[in-house]
Amino acid sequence: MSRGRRYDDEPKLNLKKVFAVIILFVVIIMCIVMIKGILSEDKERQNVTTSIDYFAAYQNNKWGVIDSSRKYCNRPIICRNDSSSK
Amino acid sequence: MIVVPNSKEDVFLCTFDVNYDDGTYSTKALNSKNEEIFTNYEQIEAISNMDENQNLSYDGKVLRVENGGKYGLINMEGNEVLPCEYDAITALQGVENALLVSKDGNYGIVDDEGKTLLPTTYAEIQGLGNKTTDGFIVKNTDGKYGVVDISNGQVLAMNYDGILKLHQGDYYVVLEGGKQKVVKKDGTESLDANGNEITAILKKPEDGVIYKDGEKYGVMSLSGENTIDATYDDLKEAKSGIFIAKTGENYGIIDLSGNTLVEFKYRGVSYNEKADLYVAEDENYNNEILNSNYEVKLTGILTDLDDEDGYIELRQDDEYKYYNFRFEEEKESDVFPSNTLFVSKKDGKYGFVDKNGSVVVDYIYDDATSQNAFGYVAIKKDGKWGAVDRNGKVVQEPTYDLEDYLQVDFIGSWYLGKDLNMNYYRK
Repeated sequence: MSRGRRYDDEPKLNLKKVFAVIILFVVIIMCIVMIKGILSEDKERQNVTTSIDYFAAYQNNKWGVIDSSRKYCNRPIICRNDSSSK
Repeated sequence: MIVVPNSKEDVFLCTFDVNYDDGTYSTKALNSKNEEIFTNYEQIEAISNMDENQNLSYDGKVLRVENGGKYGLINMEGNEVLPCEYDAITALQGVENALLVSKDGNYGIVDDEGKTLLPTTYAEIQGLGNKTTDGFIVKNTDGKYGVVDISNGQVLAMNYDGILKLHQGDYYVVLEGGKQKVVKKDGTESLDANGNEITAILKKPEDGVIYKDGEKYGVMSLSGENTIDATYDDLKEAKSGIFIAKTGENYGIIDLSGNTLVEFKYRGVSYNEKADLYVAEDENYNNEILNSNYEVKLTGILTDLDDEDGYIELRQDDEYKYYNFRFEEEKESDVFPSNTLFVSKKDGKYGFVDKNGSVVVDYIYDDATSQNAFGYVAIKKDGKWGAVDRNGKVVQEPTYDLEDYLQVDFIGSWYLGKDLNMNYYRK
């Protein structure tokens, strides 16, 4: 009874090589996903950093400007020489 | 004071050393590093404009500069757009991207890239609508009025004593011999209003005009016959052939035949063309939203109707609810997918949950607003307002009494000033 071609005189399937190729494919896919993720994160960061809005602000009879970012929103830029301005 | 003409640009205009006796003042431009910029000019100012609802805005692309008593324009990078050679430069009131320039007593129009739309040859210029593409009413040095388009091409000949800012298609309302008339673009007369005041040409001009006889409004066909008798205290066309009318103190909706489509029981009615719906308000400031078949589909206090993003925000039972223009309720998280906090109410108190419904801010507040574009929400406790950031952290304890403010809004611990036209934050 025939046991199939792989048991003929031809060389046997090298399971180690098969696993190595599969793992290689998995690693490549993971790398692509990771690079894509990093790129989109960078884009998001860029969006965050470029979407600052500035607004006039008034405190203690002085005018200044605040921006919408969390970093500077509590730090007014006081206009110089504006003591007489209303 | 300081004006930020364009919130996205790092250019702030300061006015200082104001002398209230002789009206003189000094100006300068600063950036966010507090450095003085664009220093080649004696004066530098933002150019203000006001729309038909008296909302103040500034040109966000150019600044007016002055040297030696002459005015010019620079852009937000400081590059010259128009040299300092004009006697005056102002916004053409109510028109976007149109700047009125004057030289030797004559007026012209430039856009905010410095391109000349109309040469400085006219004695007077007004916008026909709120866009430059609507054209301009111009007056020549002989005192006669006409209409020109955005390229200074003549649309209506300079034959008239006056032209009203009312036009529809090729029809215009002109003043001739003290009388108002409707004329076509080619100058042929379509209607003599017989001494009545024309207040609008109908959306289908061949249907006629809305006119005012004494203090009452009606509709007159182009042949001069009354389509709707002048019996209303106010009359405005919402969409073609449909009118919002006022009798006494109450508003309703009628058609061109004078049939009442919506009973006269509201204190105000407006029509939103994009959403194709009517917003009616009763004497207690509650709103009813009617569809195009005049059926009441929603009730509550209308707090926002955004026809760009296509949603209606209503306050119902002290909660904000969101609907699309098919009047289907939508989740706040679907309407504002980038928000991190969503108003939630439990046992009469307000808190905030995240997209998944998990409580981020506990239910301890008496009132709260939706998250603004900068991530902040306003919270109210014991009659005072404060603010919470996008992570649910209190950045301003509720200490501000903002009861008579039309809009409560925070950026960090700064709250929006009372005069919305000034567009500033304070603390």
